[in-house]
Amino acid sequence: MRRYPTRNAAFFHALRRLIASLCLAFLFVQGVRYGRYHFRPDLSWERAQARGVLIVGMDTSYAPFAVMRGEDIRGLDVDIALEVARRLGLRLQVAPMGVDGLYDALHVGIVDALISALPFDPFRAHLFVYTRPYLDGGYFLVSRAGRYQTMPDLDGKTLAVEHGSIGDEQARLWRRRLRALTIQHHAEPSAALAAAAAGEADAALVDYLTARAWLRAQGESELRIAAAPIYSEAYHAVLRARDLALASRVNAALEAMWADGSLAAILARWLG
Amino acid sequence: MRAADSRAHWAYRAGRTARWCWNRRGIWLRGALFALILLNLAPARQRILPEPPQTVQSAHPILCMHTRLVDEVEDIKIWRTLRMVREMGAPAIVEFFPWAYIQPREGVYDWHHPDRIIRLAQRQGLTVIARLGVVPAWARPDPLRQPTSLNYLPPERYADYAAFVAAFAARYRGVVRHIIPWNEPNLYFEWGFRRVPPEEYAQFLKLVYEAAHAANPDVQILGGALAPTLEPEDGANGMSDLIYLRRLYAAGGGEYFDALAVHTYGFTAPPDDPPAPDRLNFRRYELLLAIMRAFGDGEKPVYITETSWNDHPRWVNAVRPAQRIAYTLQALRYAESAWQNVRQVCFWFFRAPTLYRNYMDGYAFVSVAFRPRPIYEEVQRWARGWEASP
Repeated sequence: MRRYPTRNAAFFHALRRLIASLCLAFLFVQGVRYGRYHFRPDLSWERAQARGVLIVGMDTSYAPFAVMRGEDIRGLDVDIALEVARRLGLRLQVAPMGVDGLYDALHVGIVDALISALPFDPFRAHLFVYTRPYLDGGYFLVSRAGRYQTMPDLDGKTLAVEHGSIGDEQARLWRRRLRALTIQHHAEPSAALAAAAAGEADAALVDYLTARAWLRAQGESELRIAAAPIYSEAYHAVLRARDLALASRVNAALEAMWADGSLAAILARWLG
Repeated sequence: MRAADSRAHWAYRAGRTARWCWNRRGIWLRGALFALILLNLAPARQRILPEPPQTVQSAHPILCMHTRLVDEVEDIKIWRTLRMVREMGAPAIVEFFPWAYIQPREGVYDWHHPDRIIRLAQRQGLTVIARLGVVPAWARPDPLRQPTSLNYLPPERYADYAAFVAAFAARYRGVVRHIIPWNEPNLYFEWGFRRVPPEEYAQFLKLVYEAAHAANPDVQILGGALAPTLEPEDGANGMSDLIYLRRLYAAGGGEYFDALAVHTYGFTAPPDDPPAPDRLNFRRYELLLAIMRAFGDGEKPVYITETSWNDHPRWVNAVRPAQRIAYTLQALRYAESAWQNVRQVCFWFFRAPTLYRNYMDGYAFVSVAFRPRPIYEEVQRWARGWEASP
C-alpha cells in the first residue's frame, strides 16, 4: 500500500524531515559551542596559584598612578596591585604598556588584570568585569570648611573652574538650572583652587587628584573637598568576565583593603 | 453573444483565481504575520520637522568644521549635527564620502547617503567640501591573489576613480564646489601600503582634474591634503609633506589642482610657535606656502581642511582644556589676519557617531549625545561675534 498519494508528497515530506534534522543538528552544535564557552570550569584562580604570580597590566606614563623610571615602576596603582597580590599570596608582575593596549592585552590573556586608573565602560561589560572602585578621580567641589557640598548650594555664588574642563562643562549646565551662578574661568585647576582659598570664589570645581595634590602642597588650608563628586569617574581593577574566580578574589582583597584602612593609607601616601 | 461569452470567461477566471488564493490561505496568512512582525521590529522613522532654509550667521566665515556624518544612520542625527554647526557660526563643513559606499559595483551608483547629507547641509545653509576616498572591492585586485587595504588604488584603476569623481562633480553641480580627491597621499597607509612617489600622485591628480572639470567646469579640485609628518624622503611610513609638495610641483602636479588642501595640527605647541622643517605645529603651513611661492603658485587659494588641538587627559600630544580653547581661538584670529590665501580653517572634528575610547575623543567639539563642550561655546562666541556680550 502506498503511504503517500503522489511522488511529490513523498519528496516534500522527506525534504521537510531533512531540513528539520539539519536545523536540530545546527542547534545542537551551537548549544555545545555555547556551553563549552560559557559553562567551562573557571580555573583562573588555580592558574594564578600554580604560577604564583599575578600579572597586572598598567599604563606606566600616567602619574601618579604608575610611572616608569629606568626599570623601576612606581605609583598609586603599583602599590594597590602589590597589596592585592600580597593578600592573594601571589607575587606581582607589572606589565607596562600604553593605555591603548590595556584592554587588548587583558582580552588575549597577556595579563590577568588591569589596575590603571580605568573608569567603568558599559560597552566593555560583556567581556570584562569591574571590581569595586578604589578611587573616584571625578570632579568635586572644594570650599572653605567644606561649606558647599552640592551644586544647588551654590545658587547666587561664584564657582572657579579650569576653563574648558569637565568641571567647566558641569558648571555651565548648572548655570542653566540655578537662578544665578557666576563661573570664574582659570587656566589651571590649581589657579581655581587658589581663587577659592583667597576668597575670590566661593568654591572650586576641580578633579579629585588635583585637589588632593594642591591641598597637600599648601599644608595648612581652610579648603575641604566635598564628600561626594559632582561628576563621578571611579577607577576600578578590571578582569576578564570568564575569570570570575580570580575577579572575586581581587574584589574581596580590595574590599578588605577598604575596610581595614590600608587602601586609604596608600591613597594618602600618594595623594596626601 | 460574444460579449456574454467574454463576461462568462472573466467570471470563470476570477473564480479560479479566488479558489487558487483560498486554497493557499495558510501561506498568505503566515506571510502576512511574518511581514507584520518584521514591520514591528523595524525602528520607527524619526521625523524632522519642516523648517525654512536657513542661513549661517557668522562674523568670521573662515571657520569650518570637519564632520563625521558618513557613519550616521539616522537622518535626525545628521540634521542635528549640521544644525549645531550652523548655530556655531561655521558656514562650511568637510565631509567624507567613500567611493566604496557610493559605487558598490562597477557601473552601479547608490547616491542615497551623500544625497541626504548634502540636502540637509544645504537646508542649513552650509557649504560642503567633499573628501572622497576608499576603494571598492571591485577596483582592487582579487584578495586571494593579492591582499590589499581599502586605500589601495592600482594605477590601472585611476581612470575608474576619475570617472567616479566626475560623476560626483556632475551630480552635485552648483551644490558642491570643492572636492578633495584623496586624503594624505604622502602616508604609506593612506596610499594603500605602497611607496608614495609624488610623481604617481601627479598622474592621478591629472586624470581626476581633467575628468572632474569636463563633468563640471565650476568644480574646484583641492590637491594635497598632505599629512604633516617628519618622515624622510624614503621613510617607512611615508614622506615629509614638504619634500612631497616640492616633488609634486617638480612633476608638474601644480597644474592639476585649483586650491591646496592643508592639514596642520598644533599638537602641544601654541599657534604662534614659529615654523621649522623639523617641527610639527600650526604654522607649518607657512613652509608649504613658501614652496608654492617658489614654484610660482603663491596666489592659489588654500583650505586648511584639518587642524586642531586635543585635550584628552591621557595622550602625550594633548594640551590642557584651557590651552585648547585659547590656542584654537588664537589660531583662528591668526589665520584670519595673517594668511591671505586661506579661505577656510576646518577643525577636526565636530562630533563622532560613537566614542573612540582613546585619544581621538579629545578632538570632539560636541559629545556623542550632542552636548556642546566648552570649546564649542567659546568658538561660537567668537564666530558669532558675541565676545563682547557677557
